[in-house]
Amino acid sequence: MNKFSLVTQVGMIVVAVTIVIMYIQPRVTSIREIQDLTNKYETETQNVSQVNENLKSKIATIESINPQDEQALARFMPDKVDDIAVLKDLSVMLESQSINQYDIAYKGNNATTQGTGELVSEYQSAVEYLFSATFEATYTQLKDLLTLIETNDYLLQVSNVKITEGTEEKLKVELNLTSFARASSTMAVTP
Amino acid sequence: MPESPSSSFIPKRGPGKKPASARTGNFVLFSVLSYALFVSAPLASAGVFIYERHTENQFNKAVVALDQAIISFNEEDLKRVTEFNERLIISKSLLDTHASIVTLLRTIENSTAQTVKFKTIDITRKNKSTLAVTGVLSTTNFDGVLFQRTSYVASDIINNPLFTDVKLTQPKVEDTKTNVVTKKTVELKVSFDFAVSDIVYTPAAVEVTAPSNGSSTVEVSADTRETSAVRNETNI
Repeated sequence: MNKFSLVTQVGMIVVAVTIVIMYIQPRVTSIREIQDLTNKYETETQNVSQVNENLKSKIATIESINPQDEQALARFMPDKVDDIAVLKDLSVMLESQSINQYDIAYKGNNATTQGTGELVSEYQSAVEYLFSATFEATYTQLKDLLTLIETNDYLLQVSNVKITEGTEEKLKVELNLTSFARASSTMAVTP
Repeated sequence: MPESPSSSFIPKRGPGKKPASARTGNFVLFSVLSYALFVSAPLASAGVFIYERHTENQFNKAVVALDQAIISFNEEDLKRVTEFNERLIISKSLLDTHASIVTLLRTIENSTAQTVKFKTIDITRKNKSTLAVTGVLSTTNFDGVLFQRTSYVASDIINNPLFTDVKLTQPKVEDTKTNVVTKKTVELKVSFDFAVSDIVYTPAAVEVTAPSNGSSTVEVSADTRETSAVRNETNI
């Protein structure tokens, strides 16, 4: 046995082991990390693609809705309530029931009256606009008026109604109404 | 003459020496192993290098695919869907709790005795699910009060009826000339609750017609029943 060749062979093994430790092992670790990242990116790509598909599907659903229905929804839940338009509608409703002596007023909304920047509403992200009406009417007139208010194309919720003795066999009615708008946008839509 | 065996040129093997073939075999095995390692390490390095490049290419493709997916995402579409969804959710919540005051008044009418009249009535929305009603009732005798209490307690829709401040008022003026005697009256305060779910507004209950002047009007079936609340008009 040649001692020189033995040393050479040991040296070859040392070189091979050094290559494994110094190059191959770090590269394998790096490959694993890249593969993990690739998997994450592919998963995220799938998620984003899924979101895009869902979004397209929802947009298609919205666009399939009858424009009149969509407009009706926008009127029912506008981005902002035009208090003057509501007062005008209230006036029309009262006069349609032959109630000509009345006081109506806009009392503000919970977005401006709270002052804390936080809405206090039972209905999430809705701004409540408060209106009042005081008038005298017969009971039949009152019921017909309430029916009109209930069937309005935007919601006028009766928050309080107080009926007391009036004049000339009529009832004195104090009505508090609430109208609603979606809070998160500032775009005005006239009801 | 025969030669002596000691004079042979072939070296004689010593009696204690092992055969050289085993050591040579081990050495050959070691040599093969060392050569194999020496050759396979660079080859493996080359393979790892190539595979790393391939992996990096795949990663780059994944990054490009994600970028494209992100670019194809339309923020305006999401905003439109979100707004529409918000409108729907709030509207549904409002419609689900949209109490019909007309239905409430009709329920009170149906549950109130002919001899009992409301002098005042106050209907307040306590929260999304409850409406509170308070009022002053007037009748001519205690039988009417007892009957009314039974009627309200028995009602499935009227909740927690409470009768307080019952008082009897005797007539103060008696007109002897015309024989008209003011009757005694019993007055009491009454309060009860309505669950909104019991009187929720149902669009089918009314028939909406388009008005000629642009404002909306509603035709309702005329309720000709002489109700206590209607009678209240004349009383008040």
